[in-house]
Amino acid sequence: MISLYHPGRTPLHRLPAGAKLLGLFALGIALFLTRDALLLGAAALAALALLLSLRVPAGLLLRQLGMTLLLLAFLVAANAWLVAPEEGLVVGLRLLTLVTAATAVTYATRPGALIAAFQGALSPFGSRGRRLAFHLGLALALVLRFIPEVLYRIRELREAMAARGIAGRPLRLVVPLAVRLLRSADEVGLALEARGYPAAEAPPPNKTKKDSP
Amino acid sequence: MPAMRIEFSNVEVTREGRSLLRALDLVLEERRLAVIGANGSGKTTFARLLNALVLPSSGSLRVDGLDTRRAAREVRQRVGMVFQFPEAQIIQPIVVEDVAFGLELRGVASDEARRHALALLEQLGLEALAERPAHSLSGGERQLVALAAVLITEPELIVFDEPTNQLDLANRNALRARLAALEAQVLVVTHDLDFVADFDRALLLEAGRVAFDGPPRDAAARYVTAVSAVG
Amino acid sequence: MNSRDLVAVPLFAALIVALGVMPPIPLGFLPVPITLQTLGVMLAGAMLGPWRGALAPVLVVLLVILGLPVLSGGRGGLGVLAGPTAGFLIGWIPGALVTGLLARPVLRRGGQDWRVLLGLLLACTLGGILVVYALGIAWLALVGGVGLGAAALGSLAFLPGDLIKAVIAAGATRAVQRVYPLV
Ligand SMILES: Nc1ncnc2c1ncn2[C@@H]1O[C@H](COP(=O)(O)OP(=O)(O)O)[C@@H](O)[C@H]1O
Ligand SMILES: [Mg+2]
Repeated sequence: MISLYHPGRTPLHRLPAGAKLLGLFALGIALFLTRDALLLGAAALAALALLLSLRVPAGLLLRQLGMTLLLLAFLVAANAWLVAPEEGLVVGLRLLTLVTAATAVTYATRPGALIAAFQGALSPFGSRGRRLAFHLGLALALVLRFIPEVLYRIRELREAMAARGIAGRPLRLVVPLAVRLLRSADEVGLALEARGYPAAEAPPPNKTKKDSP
Repeated sequence: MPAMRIEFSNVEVTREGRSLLRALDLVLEERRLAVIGANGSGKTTFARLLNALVLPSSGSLRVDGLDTRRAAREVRQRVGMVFQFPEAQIIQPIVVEDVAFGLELRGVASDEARRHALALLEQLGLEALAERPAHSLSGGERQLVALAAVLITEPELIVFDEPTNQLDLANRNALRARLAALEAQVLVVTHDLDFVADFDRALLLEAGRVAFDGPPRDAAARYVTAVSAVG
Repeated sequence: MNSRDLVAVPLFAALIVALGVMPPIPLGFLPVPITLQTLGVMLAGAMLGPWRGALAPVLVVLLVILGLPVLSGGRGGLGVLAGPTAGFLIGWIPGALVTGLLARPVLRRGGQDWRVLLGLLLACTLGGILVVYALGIAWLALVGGVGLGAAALGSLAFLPGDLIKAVIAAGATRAVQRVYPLV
């Protein structure tokens, strides 16, 4: 699975991942502390400029933001109708700013850098923190490894059902799928043990940043 | 590398009231060992005993003097296992990461483990696969990657569970050549009799018992007779 | 956590993601189509139990944060978590937890088929729908400025689809329990 990260060399790209996350968090709080439409409007424009400066193709942006923008329009209308037009403006600008800024951070940050930031945040907690960081990395890697396999199994089961002329009853698909997944969890768990899990001591985390998990 | 001594003393494995393996009393110390038998005869269970994934329900098993029940971790460090379905064995999404993983579990830093993994893949002629997503490999490639992932920790004994099942003839012959070149002790579970024809010793399992123990050629004759008698 | 659990949790997280790849079914007036992802959330809770079950959606949310397009329609990234529907996503975590908490005693007790099925259906409905909706609606009302009532009304469109999913999840869990030991 390919991440949404869009390579580039903008200032936002170069900021440390942890700083970007904290900044976003602070922005979220700040936005709810003001009702000044002018201020919010300026923030929304700044966030939009930030996102556009990343030069992500418009089609990709629309795919990510399309539904949210529609829902935002809906919320603005509902607020304007039910409460007051100004309220619609405030709510709309707030959410627009936050969603746009958050999307910009996602496009400008490698997943590997975010994982490293999470794992770094765990490092003050000694060997327990290292263990957790190791397991976190392993669990995320396993999800990515399993996604294509689950998709493959779904396709396989559908074909097997079609070949036998059993049409789409979902239960008929979900039951064998779940059984296969549980059995394969047993098997992969054994393989993990065969290869030396649990580790005697949690291995040290990555020193270099990886491109994507 | 000298072969390890594997000692079964009256090993039984029972699950859900059924006896999967019974009365195993054996000493194995040959460099090339084969275990053959029909489906359901207990081959996989036998293979898993050697790497402490299955523990004896009674009796005991020692690998180079280590009791698998008491020293499972050490045994696993020294015995590698290539699973019957190598896709189960692949843990990480990218080939080189998966090969490096065994070292990481042993406390080697990621960067260094990755360097070793790349070197090993190159040595095996698999460097083209290094950055491939593991799920995109063919059956033969997967088997080789699973082998690389085991070889990286330099086990003294490598157990293969039905390694030729998903291979075409060319891949099967390539695997045979590769096995022959391995320095480590090797135990292959299979019903591909020809694959193990030049091994040192073969065990034939029938319903969880050792029905024959001797040179592969004779085991093969016995196995074929038994199968044709049933069929 | 043993090695099998360590694998089962990511496997069900992958199931939740994979179910989002299935083409979404557009429904109702809200621009958010029905997907099968919450079916995966219910299955995780019912089949893996409350704690492991809740960890599966935790992994999915982490992947969203990392910027992977793991949600239906290929969506992902921090924008989703900053948006007005974030509560429905975060709600998956307590949703799976509650589903598992309620399903576990039902599966352990066993008994007549219809009783078990009914118990599982209740678990999936309360955990996979009520809890998820509660968080989703509360968040939508809070950040969207609309009242709870309006937010709830807007979410009503998804209820029929989600009820069907709860029925499927309950039936599947019961059927799987016969061939594979759960809880
Ligand atoms: N965990 C288990 N519980 C119950 N029965 C099992 C278990 N594992 C294997 N068996 C049964 O034990 C027998 C031997 O299995 P296995 O060792 O996998 O044989 P083989 O690899 O020769 O086909 C089979 O009948 C199988 O169904
Ligand atoms: Mg077998």
